[in-house]
Amino acid sequence: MPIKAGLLPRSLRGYLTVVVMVPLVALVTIFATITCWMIDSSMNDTSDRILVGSTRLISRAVNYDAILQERLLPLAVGLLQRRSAPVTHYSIHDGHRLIAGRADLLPPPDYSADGRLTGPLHPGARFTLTSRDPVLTRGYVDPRDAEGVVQPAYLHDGMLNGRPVRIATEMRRLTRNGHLVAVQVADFLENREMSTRVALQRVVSASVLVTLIALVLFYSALAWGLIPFATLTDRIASSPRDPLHFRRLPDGDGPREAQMIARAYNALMARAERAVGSLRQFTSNASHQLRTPLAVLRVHLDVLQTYGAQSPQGQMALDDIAHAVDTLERLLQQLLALARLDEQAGYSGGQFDPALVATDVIAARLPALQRADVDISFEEDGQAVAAGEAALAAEMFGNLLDNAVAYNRPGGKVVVRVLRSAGSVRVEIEDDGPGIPPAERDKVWERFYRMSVNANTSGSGLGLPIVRALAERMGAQVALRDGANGRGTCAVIDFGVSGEGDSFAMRGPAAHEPVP
Amino acid sequence: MRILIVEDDPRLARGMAASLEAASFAVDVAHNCEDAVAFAAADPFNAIILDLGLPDGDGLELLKNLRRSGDTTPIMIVTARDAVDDRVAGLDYGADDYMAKPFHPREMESRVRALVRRSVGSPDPVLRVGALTLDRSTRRVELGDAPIDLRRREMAVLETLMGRPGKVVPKDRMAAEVFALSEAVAPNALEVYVGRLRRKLSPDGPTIHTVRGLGYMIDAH
Repeated sequence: MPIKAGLLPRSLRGYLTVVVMVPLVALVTIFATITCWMIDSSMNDTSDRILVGSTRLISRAVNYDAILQERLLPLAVGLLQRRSAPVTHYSIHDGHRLIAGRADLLPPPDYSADGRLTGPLHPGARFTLTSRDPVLTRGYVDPRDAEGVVQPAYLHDGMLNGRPVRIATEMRRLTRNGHLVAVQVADFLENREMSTRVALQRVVSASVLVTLIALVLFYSALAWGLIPFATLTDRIASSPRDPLHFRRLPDGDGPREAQMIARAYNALMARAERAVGSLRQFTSNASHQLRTPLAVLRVHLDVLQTYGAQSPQGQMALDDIAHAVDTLERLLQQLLALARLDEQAGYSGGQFDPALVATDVIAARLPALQRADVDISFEEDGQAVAAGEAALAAEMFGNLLDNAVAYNRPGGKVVVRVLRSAGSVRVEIEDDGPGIPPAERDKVWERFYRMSVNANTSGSGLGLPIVRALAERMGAQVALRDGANGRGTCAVIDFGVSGEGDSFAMRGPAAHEPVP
Repeated sequence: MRILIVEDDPRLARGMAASLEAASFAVDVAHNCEDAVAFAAADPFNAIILDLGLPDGDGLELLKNLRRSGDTTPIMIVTARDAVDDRVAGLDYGADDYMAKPFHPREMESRVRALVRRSVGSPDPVLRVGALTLDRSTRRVELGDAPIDLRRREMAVLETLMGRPGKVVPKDRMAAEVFALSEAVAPNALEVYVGRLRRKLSPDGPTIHTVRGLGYMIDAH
């Protein structure tokens, strides 16, 4: 996942912390909200139950004869006042006459001054049933207690002393005189809210604390977990003095993820080392090859100065200088050709007529062939179209032909053949010179390798490597084998046939009519 | 001074030989290990210049074999390999000097001269016999303060004699140091050069004595 700058921290530690902590904080918030809501509703429920329970207790105490009521009512009120959450605001009205409690806690408006209920009945207070709740009769466990209850206890909001209160009201017709009395108990809402607020504050504090602890734990766990990677970074960063020393990291310690990085790094280092090694080898070989012609130049320039251009030594020096310059020039050309081949990407299709290319190459070399006293002939069996590029193929043929001529004998022969077969086009360049011993056939493909018997000739050891690099680019196969009758060398190049359909169409006539 | 060049590139060998001959060395060239061993065994060379990349073997092996067979001729390696390891190996196998291609011929000459001087035990480039001095670096010969003009061969003969003043230098030894194998030498060539030297040194210079059947000797009287 890309880490965007600005919005999120750039360090993995900070980033992961943010990514984990944001949902965690959201979860804690949701959990705290639910907890607060449950606390709130449960406290309201409890307070309402207490309110309603207190109302019934007082209402029950009122429904005795006057003497008993005189004793029971203070007792009930006293009991209620000794509770942890005292409910002390109550009133008992018989019409407009106050029997007990606070006068300012007025009965509801549908209770008339002469003690009658003017409105419809209110539904009694209901609470969520629990398994412990018994079956109630108008709010009472004992049905006898419910006798005379007209309006079962119900809850409504009102005002007392100018402050909002929750009021529970029950109306009961007294057994002793048949009067309808309104029993009310009130609870100040602000008292309830205060206790709720304390509980909520505790929940919020606990949530913040939990979040902070989680943050600290997570951050330090992350820091601890990232130690192997920091170690790895240090090891990679503390590179040795030698810039070409490809030091490997120990990949056996640390967690598996760090080991994977170390192994990948080591594999990369190994590849880089191989690449630099071969480059180094190449550079060293190239400079080695350049040194001898340069030494020849320098020494013979000195000879020229010492003896003068007209002396026999001077003539010899001029000849050798010209030769050294030729060698250098050829070497440079071949080095450049190889460098270009190394640089270029894979070959991208194309086709050419190998016979045409081969004859062009031969034609360009006819004067040289005559000078070398080598006889050349060309053979083909029908037209063919090979996959590749004419210019590259010409370079290949040219190199092989030059070899066939240079490593031949006076009066020797060179044969160039173009042979067609199913799925490939074969080009052979065969000489009847001294040939290449089988033991050397693999080595001659190596850059700068020179067969010891040819040490005195002017080759660079790059011709065949160039041929191979060209073949690889065009997807062709190139090999060396014995020439005819076990004499000389035959270079064999197998080209692919480009685009079957096309080539069939082009080869069509040739397949039926012999080409003269 | 007789020098053996072991170098597989004929053109380079030719040039090196021409340069050294111009500096009045007698030079032989071997193009491979086999020839080099044969040459070194046949004649006393004053120094060998050895190329490492040879067609029939490695120059280092040749060097090792020469040293093992007791050859103490000063050997200078000349090669296109210039890695430190190659130099160290060359010197450790018993080479006396090392020069990387491409080199300047004058550097090659003076290094060879230095090698030869050290090998005869006198690092001083100036040889003295009485009033006669021969500066092996500048190729100047003076008698007192007067310069003496010597030809190449005369110089070689005088240098050989002055390298061992008061001692008889055998004739064949002197011939081996003065003439290369490739040179066509008349049987009395040495006598001719010695005769010319005597004329140029007389009457004030040191005397070159002929010890019949043995050779020649130079001394201050």
